[in-house]
Parts: sequence; structure tokens; C-alpha cells
Amino acid sequence: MNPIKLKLKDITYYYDNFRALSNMSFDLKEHQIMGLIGRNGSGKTTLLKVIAHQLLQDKGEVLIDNKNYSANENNQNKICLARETLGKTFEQTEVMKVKVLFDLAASLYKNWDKTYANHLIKRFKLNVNKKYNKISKGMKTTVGIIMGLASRAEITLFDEPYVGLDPVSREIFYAELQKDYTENPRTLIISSHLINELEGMFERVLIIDEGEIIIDSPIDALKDKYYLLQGRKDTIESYGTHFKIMNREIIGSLASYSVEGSLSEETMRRMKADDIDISMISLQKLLYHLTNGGENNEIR
Amino acid sequence: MKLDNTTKVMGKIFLQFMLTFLLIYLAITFFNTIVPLFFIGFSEFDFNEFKISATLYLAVLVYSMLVGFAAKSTSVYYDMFTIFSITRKRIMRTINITNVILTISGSAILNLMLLMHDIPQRGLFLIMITLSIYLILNFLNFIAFLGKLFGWYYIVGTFVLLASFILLTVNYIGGFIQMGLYKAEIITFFAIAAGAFLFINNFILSKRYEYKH
Repeated sequence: MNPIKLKLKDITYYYDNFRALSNMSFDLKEHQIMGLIGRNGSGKTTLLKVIAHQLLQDKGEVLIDNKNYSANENNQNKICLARETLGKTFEQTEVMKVKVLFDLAASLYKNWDKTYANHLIKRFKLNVNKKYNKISKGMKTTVGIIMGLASRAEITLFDEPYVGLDPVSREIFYAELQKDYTENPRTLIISSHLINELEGMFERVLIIDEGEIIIDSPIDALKDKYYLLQGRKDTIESYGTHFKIMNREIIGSLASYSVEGSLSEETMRRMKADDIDISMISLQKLLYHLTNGGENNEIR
Repeated sequence: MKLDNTTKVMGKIFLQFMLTFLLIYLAITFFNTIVPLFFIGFSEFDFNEFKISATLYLAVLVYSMLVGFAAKSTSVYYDMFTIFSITRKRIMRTINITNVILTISGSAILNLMLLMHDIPQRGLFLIMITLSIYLILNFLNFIAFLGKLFGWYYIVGTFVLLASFILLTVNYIGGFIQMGLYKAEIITFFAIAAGAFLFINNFILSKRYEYKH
């Protein structure tokens, strides 16, 4: 079993009086890909920035290899946060060409793979002679992606790595990410809204809302806990003791129920015999149900 | 001493920074000392006058360069390293190492140039210049941090206070230095002030600064 690479203990972060993260604790094993999912303003970027040491938590600690990352001044930079922008410092610098930026990253990341970076630059058709503040939003995202992939940092964080990207570039990114992860496994956290596109890559998922963790689970475990039941309303309701209803959509006598609970083999066999279709809830639907305040859609 | 990647990058940035200032220095010196000779004739060239001008320009440029670099190191470069997730301790260590190297090299350049002039109490000048450069660097690091943490108007406010202090005391302190009075007190003041800013920057301000953009 892989050792724990990243551990967060009771992380709390405030923007002035607003609590953006609230007592967040989780750990991530080495060479695991975690999906960080949440609605706008749920605290995803803040969490990634705290892990990346750009923001300083008000409470709690971030441990890497079981050591406090910030306390050790001899730490080589083990973390790379890839975002759609590098922030004001680079946005406002008139003289910083993209290739200079990559040279800088190459000097600072000890595992930087220059050949791979050049390969990615060609694949994404990125003009590295342009100034960083003059390139398009999509190209800035590409710069972040190339930095994230080529840095080969032990912990790589991708914050919505598709902002402004066209579908072709998105597919290139997914393909490169999978290929590179297979060849150079490392610990990855990917925050995303495009859950359906990335769902297949996640080994673990962290769903957050209003700065709190709602679900922290291996993706396989979710399949055994959340179900989508479709069939006649009365028939589904008759199994009501076996699960907790998260959401129901009713059209006439037919219904679609999103439920939480562990269904035994026997129960599932009986449900199927009663013409109830059982399937897994997509992460996107799960996020919707868990953060929608339990509202139901009933069309009669 | 084995330098880490961050210090090496900082060194590279400084060399580029210095090169820019060196070119400016050469251009200013050339235009102010050599170009006039094209109009008045090269026979009028006075080496002593050239020496004084070249030394003065170098002193001004060295101080400007150090001031510029110190202000940028805790503002722009600090942010830059934070973006690459380098720990604050490491960034501050890099800045501290850079400050020491800048102080020694800046002081060496100025004192070597002063060798061309007849100055009494060279040793005193050496210590004063070294400490004043170190104080200026740490003070500017402090100012840049203040601006980033609380807003740039704090920089203006601090400079107004500093200017008032200098205006009030420059005649006395300048006079004391010229007359060689209160040497120990002035040197102690420079050293304590530099140490205080060093402490505040490393243990208070850098621990509060975040990259929120």
C-alpha cells in the first residue's frame, strides 16, 4: 500500500470575516489522483492555494511526507499549482515572455523535464515568444498545464485546467495527463466543474461545499453507496426502509430516485424483479443532489 | 557554500538587473564626461575631474541599484517564488543571503572607488557605508512588505516620516560623521536598526504575507 503523501489537519481559512475553509482534514496517498469537486465559491481554489503554500491557513497544518511543509526551509519545491493564471505578478509584467517563464520554472523545479515541456509546447501550439500578459486566456491555461505536467512535482495541483480551452486542447490535456501519469506516477489533485469529462481519471473524490467536506471517498466506494433508481413510484417507495432519499423526480406514475444507502444483493435482486432499474449516480448528479438543499422536482 | 535553486535564480535575476544599471551608468558617464570633449576638444580632458564624476555617478547608481533590487525582492520576486510554492522560510533565506552579498559587493565597489580620493578615516567610512547599505536594504524590504500587506499608501506615509526624520537630523548626523563624533553611537544605531528590520521582516511580516491573486 502506498504511503500517505499529503495530509491536511483541521485546515481553517478566513478571508477577513468570511470562513472559506472550515476544519478540513483529509489525506491522500502517494501516486493517487483525487478529484476536487464543488460549486462556485465552495472553497476549491482556496484549498489548493493553501496546499500550495500561497495562502497561509488560520488553523491547522499541511503535512507532506508527514512533515510540516512550511516549517522546513530545506524543502525543495515539491508542489506545483497549475492555474488558468499565474496571478498579478506575471499578468502585469510587460517584459516576461512565456519562454522566460518556462526557463524560470525549469530552474526552480528539480524534476523539470525540458524535452517533455517542448513536446507539450508543440502539441498545444503555444507561441513561447509572446509576452505572458498578451496571450489569450486559453493559452494562459495551457501555460499552467505545461508547467503542471513538465514540473513533475511530487504533488501537482490542477485548478480547473480547462478554463478557456477549446475541446481539442482539452482532449490533448486529458490524453497527456493519463500518459504522463502512467509513465511518471505522482500525487495529483484536479479541481473541476467538467466532472463528466474527468470522472474516469479519479481514484478518489473530495466533494466540498461552503468550505466543508461533504464526501471524501474512493470512487469505487461511491458506487456501493449512492444509486439511481428508476421505476414506478409506489414500487420504489415500498423499499423505502433500505435507503435515504436524496432527490426524487416524478413524471406521472414513473419516478427517478437518487438514494443513499447500502443495498444488499438480495434487495437489488428483488428490486430488479419489480422492474426497478438500478444504476450508479454520476458525480455531477451527486454534487447537484448534495449541494442543492434537498429540493425535489416533481412534475405531476 | 552550496546554493539552492532559489538563491541561484535570485542571483541570475540580480546579474540581469546589475547589467541594466551598468549600461545606464556607462551611458551617463559617457554623455557627461566624454561627449562634451567633442565640442571643447580632447586636450581639455582633466583626469581628476573625470575621476570625481565617475565616482559620484557610480555611487549614485550603486545605491539606486541596491534600492531598486531590495524593493523588488520582497515585492515582485517574493510573489514570484510564492507562485512556485517555495516556502516562506526558504524565500526569506534567499533574500537575506542576497542582502548580505549586495551589501558586501556594494560597499566594496564604493570603497574601492573612494581609494582614488584622499579621505581621512577610511575605516570609519567602510563601516558606515557597509552598515548603511545593509540598513537601507532591510528597510526597503520592510517598506515593500508593508505596502503589500496593508496598501501602498503605507509606503508613502513611511517615506514621509523617514524624510522628516532625515531633514531633522541630517545636519547633526552628517556633522558628527564629518567631525568623527559619536562614532560608536552612530554605528550602533545603524546596526540595531538593521537588525530590527531584519527581525520584523523575517519573523513578523513574511509570516503574514499571502499571495491572494
